[in-house]
Amino acid sequence: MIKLLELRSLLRTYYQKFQMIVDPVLKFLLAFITLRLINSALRYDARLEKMVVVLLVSLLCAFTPPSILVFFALMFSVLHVMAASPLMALVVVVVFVILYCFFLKFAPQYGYAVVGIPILYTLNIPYLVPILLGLLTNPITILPSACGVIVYYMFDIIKKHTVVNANYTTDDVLPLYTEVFEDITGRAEILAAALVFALVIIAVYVVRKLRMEYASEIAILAGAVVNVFGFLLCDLKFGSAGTIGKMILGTVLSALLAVAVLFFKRVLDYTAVENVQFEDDDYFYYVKAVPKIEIGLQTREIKRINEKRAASEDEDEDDYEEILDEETGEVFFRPKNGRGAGAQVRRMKGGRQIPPLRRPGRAAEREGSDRAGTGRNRPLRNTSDWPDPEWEELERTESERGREREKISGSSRNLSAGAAADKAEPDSAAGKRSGESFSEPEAEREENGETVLLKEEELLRMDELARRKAAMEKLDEPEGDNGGH
Amino acid sequence: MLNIRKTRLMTKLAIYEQGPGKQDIRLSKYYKSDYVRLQILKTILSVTVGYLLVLTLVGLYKSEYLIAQAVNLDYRAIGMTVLVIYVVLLTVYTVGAIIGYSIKYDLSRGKLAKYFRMLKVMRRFYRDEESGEAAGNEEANHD
Repeated sequence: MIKLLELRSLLRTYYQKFQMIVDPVLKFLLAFITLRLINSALRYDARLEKMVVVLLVSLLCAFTPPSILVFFALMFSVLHVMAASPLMALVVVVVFVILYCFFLKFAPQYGYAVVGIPILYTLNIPYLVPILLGLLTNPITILPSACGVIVYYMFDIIKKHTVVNANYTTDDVLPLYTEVFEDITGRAEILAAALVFALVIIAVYVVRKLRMEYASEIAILAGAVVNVFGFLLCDLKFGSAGTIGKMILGTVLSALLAVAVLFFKRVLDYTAVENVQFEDDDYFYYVKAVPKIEIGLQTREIKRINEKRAASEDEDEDDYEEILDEETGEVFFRPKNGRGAGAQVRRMKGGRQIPPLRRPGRAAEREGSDRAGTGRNRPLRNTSDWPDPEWEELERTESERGREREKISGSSRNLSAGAAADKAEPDSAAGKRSGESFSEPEAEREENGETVLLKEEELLRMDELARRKAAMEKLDEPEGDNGGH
Repeated sequence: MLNIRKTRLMTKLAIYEQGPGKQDIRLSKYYKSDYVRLQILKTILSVTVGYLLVLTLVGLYKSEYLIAQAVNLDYRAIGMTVLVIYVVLLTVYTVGAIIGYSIKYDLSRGKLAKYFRMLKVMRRFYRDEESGEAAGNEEANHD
């Protein structure tokens, strides 16, 4: 969905930017396709089929209002018929005037439907027109859509009779007209098709006006369903069951195209740049008004100025892993690779989620070296993330525990490791203690109410004390030996 | 000196006047009853022309029969039928025109309300400008 919205913003921006070019190009293409389809459907006048003629007329349509395209489309149709039978051409013109008087006069702005329906009939997607009319306009468009249906069937019938009777003489004109007239008035499916189109327009319009989410999309679906059922009945009644599959496929395609048109309509609606001219007592104004649009989502690029430093910061953040104690439901955080020897272990009872503690890395040291100097040594970079009272309590508990542990470690240190081993491999010893530090809280959990914190510094301090003690003992021993000798 | 706020307002007014408001402003010159009556007249004319053309086409289609039976035809019955159809058509179209054009007129008035509000603001701009100019002239006279 985000991608679609971005595409929408992008299209809107580009449309605004190149509106002066895009509009005529689209109109030119529309005119070109329309005239080519008319030429391929009615192949009576070879002169009209020439590419130069089509291109010139399309070019003219590109820079004139859409009603000119409608006029030229109808002119092309009449001229083609005139090449075959002048009387039929006259009849076609009279029919056009009748359609105008009865239908189009009341909705002249929707004249493109009269051309659109016959054109799209050749592509088997005429159902797109009523769906779009219901979606974008009002029910008065029932009249032009009925005109479109009549025009399509009229040309279909004229084509059929004119092709068969291409060598008619003047005396045969009246019988030809009679045949065409009988065929037109005798085909009830014209009326049925116009009725179904009208129902589709009404269904789409009514559903679109409902106050619900995705009303337009549901309206398209409703229109497609009405269309399928309507034409299904028509096909069954008029014995053209063979075209049912074609009709359903055409309806599905029309519905999909309607969704696409809806998308583009939303994109382009009210985005046109207005060029207006007006004046007051003092000035003439030539104003170009550009509608405001929302800025599309931009891709955010993070540029690392110092790669090394940035990498170390990331490393600091990822140093710790989260461990859940399944028995108690407590959460621990410990260093992943064991290099943070006396890393802090933090837990909280009652299923309360705690943000992971982070070892003060280089970045934190840089930020708050003074903080490290005060001995407070807060593990978080940003202390504002933590409520202070809680932290104070934790620290107090921690310092008390540290003093107790110091007393204990004084005696246990002699048993655990020698001073020489400590000197040779301080890291591994620290690592070992880090392992101890994970097990210790488990033992103390019952006693302590909420939180246990073990700090690296305390353990180091314990190490240091043990080392001094061992050194003192070592110094004492030779003296004792020498004295003995 | 250009007044930006005034220019903005004038631009909005011009966009409406030259675009969607063109028809609304045209309608605003009529009273509703006058407008609807005029449209009814146009509709009657249009339906009459259309109906005559349909009759011509039907007459052409039936021309052989009409010529052959010219003497024996019941012109009164044919005339009555044609007339009844015409009257029915006229009635339907007239009622449709009254409803349709009344709705159209009302809708245009609704759209025009905003336009008139903007015009009022515009008038205030001009009044302020005039009062400012008058004050300036007075000061100049005192000096």
